[in-house]
Amino acid sequence: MRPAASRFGAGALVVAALAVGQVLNERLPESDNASRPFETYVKMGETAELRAGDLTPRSVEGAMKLIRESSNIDAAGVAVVVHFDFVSGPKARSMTYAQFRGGDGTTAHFGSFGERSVLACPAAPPGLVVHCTAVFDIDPDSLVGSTLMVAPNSLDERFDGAATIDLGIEQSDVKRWKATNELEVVETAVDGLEWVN
Amino acid sequence: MGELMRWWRRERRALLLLPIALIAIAVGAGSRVEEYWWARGFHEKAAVEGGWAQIVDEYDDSHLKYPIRAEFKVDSIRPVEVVPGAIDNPVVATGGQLWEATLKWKADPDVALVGCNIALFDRDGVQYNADGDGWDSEDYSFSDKCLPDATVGPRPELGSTAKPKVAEGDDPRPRSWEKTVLVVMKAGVVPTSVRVWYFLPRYAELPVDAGESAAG
Repeated sequence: MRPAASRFGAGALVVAALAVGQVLNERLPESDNASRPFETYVKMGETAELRAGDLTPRSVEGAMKLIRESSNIDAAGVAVVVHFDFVSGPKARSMTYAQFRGGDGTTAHFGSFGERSVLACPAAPPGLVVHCTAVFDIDPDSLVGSTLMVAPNSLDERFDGAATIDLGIEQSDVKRWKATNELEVVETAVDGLEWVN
Repeated sequence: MGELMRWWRRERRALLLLPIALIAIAVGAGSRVEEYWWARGFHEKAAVEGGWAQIVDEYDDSHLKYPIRAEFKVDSIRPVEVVPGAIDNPVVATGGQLWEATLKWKADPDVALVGCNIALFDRDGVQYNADGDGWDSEDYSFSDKCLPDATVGPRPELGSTAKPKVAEGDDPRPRSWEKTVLVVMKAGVVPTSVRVWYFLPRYAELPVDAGESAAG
């Protein structure tokens, strides 16, 4: 090969490599997006198999006032209670982060230390069922078509498995809940025990 | 052919550097392995001498630092229906079985040992912590999982950088003692090992033979 041609070839390769790098940089997801949690969509009665364990949404109900053992909630919007069961996988995990995604684009998030909006799903030994609750006060217009994402870690849900519960709420449900004055909330507990927390 | 050989020879230095560069890239990009994997799991297993697991660890919050040294062996592990010194019939979660694990301990009375963790593992590697979850432990008083109830020995003072010391009025810790912990496991599984740890990735593990007394 003549030196000039060889140098031209090498230059072309470098330019090609830079071009490919540029394309990759543009096309690959940004790190925020690439490290997002692995969300498993799940409907009432189905089970989402997460890394932390198995999560099964049971029911959703609502009212203008919730009666709880700890404290009652007078809703500014409408108070919603989501019941789900959780069974830890190979080691005890708790669910501590919830993110509400309204059908109208409203989002709200809460954790296990909230007062008005709170996710109660403490750790139990692997294989045992915990009856968990997510309680939140939300704008009734956001409820139709909404989902609730539930994840184990409130500080950092990246790369972990999260369940996105299809709440399956319809206009008729919202109407009924707005007309329901009071609802007694069944407290969170490990199955077979009276009380945890 | 001669041309190709010449190229290899001419570029030999770059070719030798190439694997080194690749390793450097992997190491540089792997800085999270330490924080997100190594420091969070059971990775540094303690030595076992004559049936005694040798715990060697260190408390270090960059203000206060003290060594942790102790030895333990398994005395007995068995499923229980009653809890001595507490409620007669403990209420255990549906599908759970309460186990009682007694460990024998040896340590220098001057060594601070507060704050250990204990877990039983089944043969699938499922971890059951001795932290009081899974049963109604209302009338049961919890104490440090690894230390004698009344004589825990030296302990650090919260927020102080002073050397851990025995609380005023307390007797020193004996050189050897026994301690029992209670663990709820899924019914039907049997513990195959017990692990004790202070700060991961360090841990001590001993096998457990509870096979013949399997609970239903």
